[in-house]
Amino acid sequence: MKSEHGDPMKNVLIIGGGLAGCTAARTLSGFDIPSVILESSPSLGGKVRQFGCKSGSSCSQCGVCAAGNLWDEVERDENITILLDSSLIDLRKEACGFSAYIKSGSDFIEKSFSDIVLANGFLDYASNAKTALDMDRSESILTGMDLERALYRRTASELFAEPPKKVAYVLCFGSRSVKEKANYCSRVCCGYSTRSAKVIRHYYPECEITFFYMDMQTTNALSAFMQDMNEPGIRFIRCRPARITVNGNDPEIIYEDSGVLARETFDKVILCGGIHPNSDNVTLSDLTGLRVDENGFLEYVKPPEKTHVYLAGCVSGPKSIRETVAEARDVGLRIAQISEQDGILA
Amino acid sequence: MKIVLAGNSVRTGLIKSFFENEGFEVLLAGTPKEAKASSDGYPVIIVGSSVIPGFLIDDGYAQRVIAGLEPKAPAVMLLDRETETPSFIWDLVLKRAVGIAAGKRHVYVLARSVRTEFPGLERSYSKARAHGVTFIKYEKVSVVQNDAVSAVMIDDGVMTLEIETPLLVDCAYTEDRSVLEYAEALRLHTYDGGLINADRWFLSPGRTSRRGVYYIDAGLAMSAQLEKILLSIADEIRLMAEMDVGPAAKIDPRKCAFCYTCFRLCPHGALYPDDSAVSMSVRHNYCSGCGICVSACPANAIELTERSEASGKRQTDHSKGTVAFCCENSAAIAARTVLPDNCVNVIPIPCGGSIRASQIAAALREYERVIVAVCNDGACKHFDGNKLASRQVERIREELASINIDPQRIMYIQLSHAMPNVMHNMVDNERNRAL
Amino acid sequence: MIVAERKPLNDIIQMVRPYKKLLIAACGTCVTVCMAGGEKEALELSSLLGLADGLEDKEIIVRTIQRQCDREFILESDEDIRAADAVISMGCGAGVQFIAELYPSKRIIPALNTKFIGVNRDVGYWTEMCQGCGNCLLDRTAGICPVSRCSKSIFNGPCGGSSGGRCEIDPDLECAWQLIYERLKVQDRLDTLTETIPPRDWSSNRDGGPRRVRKSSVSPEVGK
Repeated sequence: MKSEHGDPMKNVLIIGGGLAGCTAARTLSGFDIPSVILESSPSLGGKVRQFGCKSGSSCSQCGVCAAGNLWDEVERDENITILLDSSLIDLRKEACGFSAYIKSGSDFIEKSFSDIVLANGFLDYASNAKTALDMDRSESILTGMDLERALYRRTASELFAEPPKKVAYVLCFGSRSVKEKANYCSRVCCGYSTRSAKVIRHYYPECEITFFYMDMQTTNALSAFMQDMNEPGIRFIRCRPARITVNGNDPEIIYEDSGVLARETFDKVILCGGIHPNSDNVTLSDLTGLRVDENGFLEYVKPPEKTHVYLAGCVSGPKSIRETVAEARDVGLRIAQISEQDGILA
Repeated sequence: MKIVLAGNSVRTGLIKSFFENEGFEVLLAGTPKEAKASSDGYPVIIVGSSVIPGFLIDDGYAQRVIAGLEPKAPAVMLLDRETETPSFIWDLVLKRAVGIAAGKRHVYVLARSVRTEFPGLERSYSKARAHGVTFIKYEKVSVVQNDAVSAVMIDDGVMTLEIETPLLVDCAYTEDRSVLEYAEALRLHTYDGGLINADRWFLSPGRTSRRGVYYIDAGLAMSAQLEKILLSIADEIRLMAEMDVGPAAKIDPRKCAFCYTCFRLCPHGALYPDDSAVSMSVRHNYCSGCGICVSACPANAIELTERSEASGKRQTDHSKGTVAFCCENSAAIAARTVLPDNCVNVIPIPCGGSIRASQIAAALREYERVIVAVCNDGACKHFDGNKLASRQVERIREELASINIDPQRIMYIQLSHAMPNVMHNMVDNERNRAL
Repeated sequence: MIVAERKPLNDIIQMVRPYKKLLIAACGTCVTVCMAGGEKEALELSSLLGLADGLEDKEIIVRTIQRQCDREFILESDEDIRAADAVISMGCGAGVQFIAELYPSKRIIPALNTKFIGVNRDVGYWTEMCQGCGNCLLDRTAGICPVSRCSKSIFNGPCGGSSGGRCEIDPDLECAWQLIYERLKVQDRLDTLTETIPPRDWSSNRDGGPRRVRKSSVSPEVGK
């Protein structure tokens, strides 16, 4: 998109170089508004860049395709400056905008911005839990992220090195639990677990799949999808596993089924971990004046059009890829709009 | 700036006020015909209506009903009976349940699954439980009506339970099917027998297959997200009015046979008959540059501007024996990721549907092998582009077979950018076979 | 419009073998709309011929003639036609013949089989409607032609083989007379069926040589 909109006073700081941050940057670039992406890791892409395709016999609408060209486009975009291995040290309000104090690699940079977008994403609970449970080296215990990486590496005939016979999904792992300080639904796990299960059955039609679940969160057409799950070899057990252990090589789950305690081994156990708030949120809240909600996610105190601080993506709560893209794009559109309507930055 | 609000929803008034506050002039269209007539000039927002049980949305009515019940009798709210109850109804159910429980009456909420994925619903659920509302998840349910009392029998797979109640609220809601008439009049693509915008990865909330035409379904209209989505639509409409978006298709009116083929096949409703030019014309802002019309036109009258391959020029590199026409949304990205530079000549195309049999045939004169690599079924941003490509490939293969040329010189593969190894394997296998 | 279909590739290849310089003449009207002989199909044919065994040395060019049934359009490609050893016309039978008439010493090869006068029911699908019998009686049959749409072309149908609304000759076809009956019923004109349509004078039809139509108000006294 080309326009005469490039307001020379607009310059946006985007914290986080994942799906939300890059989408916002590209939207802004469409209006010739420059932005700086601060990414704490050595590469762009966040978590979504590692996600794989969940198409079985047909596309399951998971949303990963939204990011297809995004990373290349951001890297080639002259309106976007990418700072890797970087983080925000301090932020000061000025008469006209903000002054940001940034650590980039081993350098320190100070720069002015008119708007800030927080897009620093979420913490993957399952990955942390896996480490805590000392299961890092187990190839049979996978987190949602591990499964995504396997899906990305898939070939025409192979998904895993060894065809699995029994796979278990453990849902609500780290969500909907007061104990885990996550009294909310992570929203995406029911979706990606059923979609990826279809892919596993596509490669290994004889593989038995068991879902340990509490409720199936179905949104819109996913419920039609769920009817496909009603076939032999797919079990739904409504309970939260009491224990998951690694017994020799094979993981074992102890659970309650119809009042009876059962133990069962599986070839693979997939921990569908929750979307937990980013560990930076408290610091960022101090710097920007945003509030940390009861679950640890960031939320607005005053309308962002007034404060010029915006939220995009899972930094404000669990959401799907499609919702993240929409939100990040809308943030970009909003900033571009405000640029015209008020000549002075409040 | 004018926009058109179509449909007969009770929420139309609310949405009208919103847009008027944003500075738009709002025209109303109460029938599909009116909506169609206005859609040529202005953006259209269709607001779907649906029938939601009055007990859930009408506070006064609910209070009167409850006041008329015996003091100790329990109330039962039944969900998921015929079809799954969506989250926005759960929001209403939880609020109503808390309201009834606060009046010291026992409430049962019966459902197959508790849908609390929307922000804040889990908290409402906890609150309802704290108020003593009983939630039971069932697998089978049956109801027997005896005068003023209903006997509800539920089976959760382990045991059965019978509840007698003078107040059984069936929380099912009926989707407004008349919205499909609007969809047809406005030539919108629908999925799975009736969904307009719900399910595709590339459609943001409120969007449809046509730019400039939006759809707010009942769920969106009742959700806390409504204002956010309306704002995003307002922003988009304002910006679209000013900007020229993307590459457009250009039609040569001297060649156009006015056969309507492109008009029928365009997935985005971007073509319209221009009676003054006696040819088809392109609505610039609505064209997404997919190239399906270019492929479909029997007179070769359409070309994409800004796309070098469609105008006949492309980098030909015959040192490689294979050329791969790759959809830029999937295969081209995968090719860039996993194919070494020197093995295949990759030609990105805007959509699998833009490929023509004549293009494939021409390529066969210069290359030993032609690969056509497109999106997975259901993933195409232009809905059926990959299927169109597959049929072109099939047709050319038949022609080749009829003149004793190996049809497998053309290879066809479906993938997404997030499964690139599939392309790598195919190219590898080919090279091994050729050696 | 006229609906045609391209001949099988092999048939065309046999006809063009003896010639080196080929001109493929697409037609921009009816055969474009029925996707048989428009510019797109002409380009495709050109590539396919180039791939065929034994045809590699041919020089093939493609031109589109807007209408092959009006002389002026054909003459626009005069130079290319003269330069070619043979012309593959992708027009309907009328077009092929007209080019042949203008260039009597040139080999003109038909690339299409002309099928019928018909309508477009859906993208890529056409059905026959009219056979040009020359004496239209569509008013008596509620707009459904018994000549083209009844397998036996009977004028006072249906025949005894009509069953379940289907034709006994081709069960995939709907019985035309059943359709005529149903439509007359909708129009409240069933009494029309009681009037017998007399046997046809077929001299107005194609038997007996090519027919001519002259519009006296504009046609020159002596026409070609």
